[in-house]
Amino acid sequence: MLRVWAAGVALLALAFVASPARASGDFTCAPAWTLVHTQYTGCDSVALLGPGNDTRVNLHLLLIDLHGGRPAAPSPVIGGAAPFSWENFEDALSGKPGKTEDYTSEDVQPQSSEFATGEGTRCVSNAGGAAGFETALAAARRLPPDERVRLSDARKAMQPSCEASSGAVLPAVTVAVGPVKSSAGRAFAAYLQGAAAFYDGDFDTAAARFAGLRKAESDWLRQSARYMQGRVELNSAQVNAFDEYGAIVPAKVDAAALAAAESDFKAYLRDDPGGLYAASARGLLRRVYWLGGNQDKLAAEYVWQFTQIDPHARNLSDGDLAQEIDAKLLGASEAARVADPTLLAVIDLEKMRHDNAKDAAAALSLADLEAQRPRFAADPALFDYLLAAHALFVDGRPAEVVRLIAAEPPGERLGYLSFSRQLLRALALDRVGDGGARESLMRLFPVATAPFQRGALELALAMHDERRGDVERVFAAGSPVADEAVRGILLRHAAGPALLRQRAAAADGPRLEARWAVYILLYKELTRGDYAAFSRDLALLPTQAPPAAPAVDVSRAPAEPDLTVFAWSNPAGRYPCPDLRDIAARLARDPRAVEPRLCVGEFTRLEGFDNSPLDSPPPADELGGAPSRFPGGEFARMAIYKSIIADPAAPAADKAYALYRAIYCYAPSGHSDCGGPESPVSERKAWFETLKHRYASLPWAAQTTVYW
Amino acid sequence: MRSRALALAAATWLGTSGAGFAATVDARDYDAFWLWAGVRPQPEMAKAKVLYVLQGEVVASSPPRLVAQGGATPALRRGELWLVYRVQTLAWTPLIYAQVAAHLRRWRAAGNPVVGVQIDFDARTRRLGAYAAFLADLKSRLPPDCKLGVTGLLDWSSQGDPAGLKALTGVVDELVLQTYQGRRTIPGYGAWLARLDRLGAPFRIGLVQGGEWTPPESLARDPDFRGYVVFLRNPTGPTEQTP
Repeated sequence: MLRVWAAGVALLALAFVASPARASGDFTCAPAWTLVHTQYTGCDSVALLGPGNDTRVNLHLLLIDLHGGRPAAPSPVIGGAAPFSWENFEDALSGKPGKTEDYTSEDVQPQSSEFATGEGTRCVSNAGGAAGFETALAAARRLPPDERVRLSDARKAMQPSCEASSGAVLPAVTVAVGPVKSSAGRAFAAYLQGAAAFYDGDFDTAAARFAGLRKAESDWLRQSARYMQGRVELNSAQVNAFDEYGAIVPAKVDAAALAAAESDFKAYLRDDPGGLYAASARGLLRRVYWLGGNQDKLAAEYVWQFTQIDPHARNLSDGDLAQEIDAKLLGASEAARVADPTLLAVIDLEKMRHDNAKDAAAALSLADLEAQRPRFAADPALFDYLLAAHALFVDGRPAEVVRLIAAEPPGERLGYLSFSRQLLRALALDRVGDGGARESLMRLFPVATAPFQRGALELALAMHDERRGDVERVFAAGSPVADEAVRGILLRHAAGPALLRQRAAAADGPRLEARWAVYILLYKELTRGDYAAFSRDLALLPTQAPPAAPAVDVSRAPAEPDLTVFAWSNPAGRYPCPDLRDIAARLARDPRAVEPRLCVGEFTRLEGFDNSPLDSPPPADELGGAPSRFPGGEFARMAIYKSIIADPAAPAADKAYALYRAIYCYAPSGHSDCGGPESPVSERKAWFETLKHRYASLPWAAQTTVYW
Repeated sequence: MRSRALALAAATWLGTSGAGFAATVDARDYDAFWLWAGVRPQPEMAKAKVLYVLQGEVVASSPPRLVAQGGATPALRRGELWLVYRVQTLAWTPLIYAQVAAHLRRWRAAGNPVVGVQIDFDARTRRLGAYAAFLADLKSRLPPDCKLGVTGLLDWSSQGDPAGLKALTGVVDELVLQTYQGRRTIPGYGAWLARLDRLGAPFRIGLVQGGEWTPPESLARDPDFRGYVVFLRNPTGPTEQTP
């Protein structure tokens, strides 16, 4: 869940709260805004290789490095600063992030079938097999024309489903090819019968038919039959290997058939390495190894994939490869058995996960990591990174990171390992208080052009400046921090009144940001007690309504603050209140005045500010989690009520209203919506009894019959 | 992250309202489960009344495609079965609809008691309206006797746009609200759940095996509450993904 979707376009929405009551994340997946994640949530991957990343993300980042490329980039910057999920990552890298227009059937590959990609059924190949058969028929010179038509029709009529409940296709095929008499035609007919038997699950018949085609004249028939022999064995091996849930039970796999399949595929690849089915045979070998629980051979196949620069040879995209390795190998693998540095690094990073300092002892130990050093002999940069990651994420020794990783002059552009090394170093410099930390981040910006790299840097730089008490620098002219979500979080939680006022009037920033600055400034001045400033700053409100969101895609437009809330008044309410200007003026004269304070409570209650993100600072280790520069602390409606309940000078009617509101804060859940520390039931009961007895004559008492 | 900011408040609440201590989710205490890719079936599933089995993921390639995630077609004869699809993008091709329909047809033809299709999509709350439109369309393509369900994080009930939510609850037959993110129980779930009275649709609560769970007092009284679904994890904790 629980993200720069779509290249950050949608993320603009995340920059600011859409309504006072909305959570800081506009997704069901709420990211934790930091680069240092030690546990896996599924929502907190970043472009820095680390334990909190989805294992598939770590693997995909390393695969991009290995394959020497980068995904198709529709724009210079893919990905924003928000930590992301695997799905967001793949969506962004797809090159068509967040694409919403309809796809038509023309977009779909001709060999597509009703089976999903990678579906575990032998029938998945029926459509592709039929197309190949047609091509081979057309190429067979000595085939009589009528037989060609007959064979073609028979193939087209073959629509197997590979389900026990459906009828067999072999009988119909046998009838259909009966009249085929020529020698060339008989070979094609035998192949069709083999294919039909295969799809029917009659593997003995299929094996016999395919075996008879070893010397067929058609090159296609010879190759296909050879390849099909392997598939027959493979399918026969797993016939009884599934439990009632459809999951494989390794002990039930037919080992002899599996060994035959392996030998068949290998023979095919040996004799015809560039053959029609080479990529498929290679892929099916992975299934052989997986079914046989042969982790070493399976890992070796993945390593072979790593070394293939040509994506066609791999037959799998990097994303699909990462997904498959994660599902088929990583979960079952013992680190001790894995020799490949890339796979081992992904496993090691996963083993560095831990929940807190206490649990760090259960994470991968430095000694265990050191023991792997020989296996990283070919990739010392990766091993040093793992040591450094261990120092930072597990041991909390940033100085060790600086010792392990030297500053490197930035090249033309950074792969993900190089980027991770330099970024981790900068984070460590920050943690040891090194004066060069900021500069080391700044140097990376020009070369951080791969997806999500720039966003990670912006997040790191923003956190650095925030923690140095210099949040103004993020908003200074020429600041590289452009991510609207990052800027929004800082305005919401870190900025003081002066910066908010400056952003509200700034001509160099986005107008939307200026409007949010006004919104945050006025809300905080009113709720944190700077009433005179509130009165003055009302002048910052725009005189005109903000421009309507563009019609093209309203759902993606950044959320607008509702600045009209500051025109609030409620003269006809059950607890009547004048407008905010009047309320603030009275509080400026007497901050303890009871009625206008209750009216501030009415404003926040009726305008939906309960549990506002503006009053919910992020955890201390996340962006926006440093002490706020806005004086006054978080607002809680409950604090007003408690103060008035305890005020002996408060007028009876106001006191009764404060009691009534305090009681209703807990309706109906028994959990307060009004902020501040929770009151025990005994206190809530006391409020109720006070209201019912001491203020029995007031309407608020009559309307209150229960407490929660 | 807001949910964590609420954690302290929730902890206080749990501590003061006598709701008791958070209990660890033991699969033996439940009868509905998610079976996800890479998670091995467990003995606890033998008595399951409802199983939600991941079948595939609609990945955001161009064009988007359905990538199989499940094993072979099961052979279950008891309880209720839901086909679950993890969804990266709502831009489904005609082929994807056909493939989902074929899944459903094949599973039923094999005798499995399939009652519905569940969509697991990270809907942005601001886009719930668009999501609802997608779901309404999907529902119209499913056979009349096939239910449509969705998963959702707790935000929906407490932070979701009411108009969007209303559109959603009118379309789906069941919502399963997750109390966890990744493999962790979301701190402060109690506070979220306390506001469930806004939901107005049949719902279940999704728990994660080994996570924590203390039901809010009000839950049992909620007429829309249909019980729990436990997300199963492999005992040794390899890298399975969660909805």
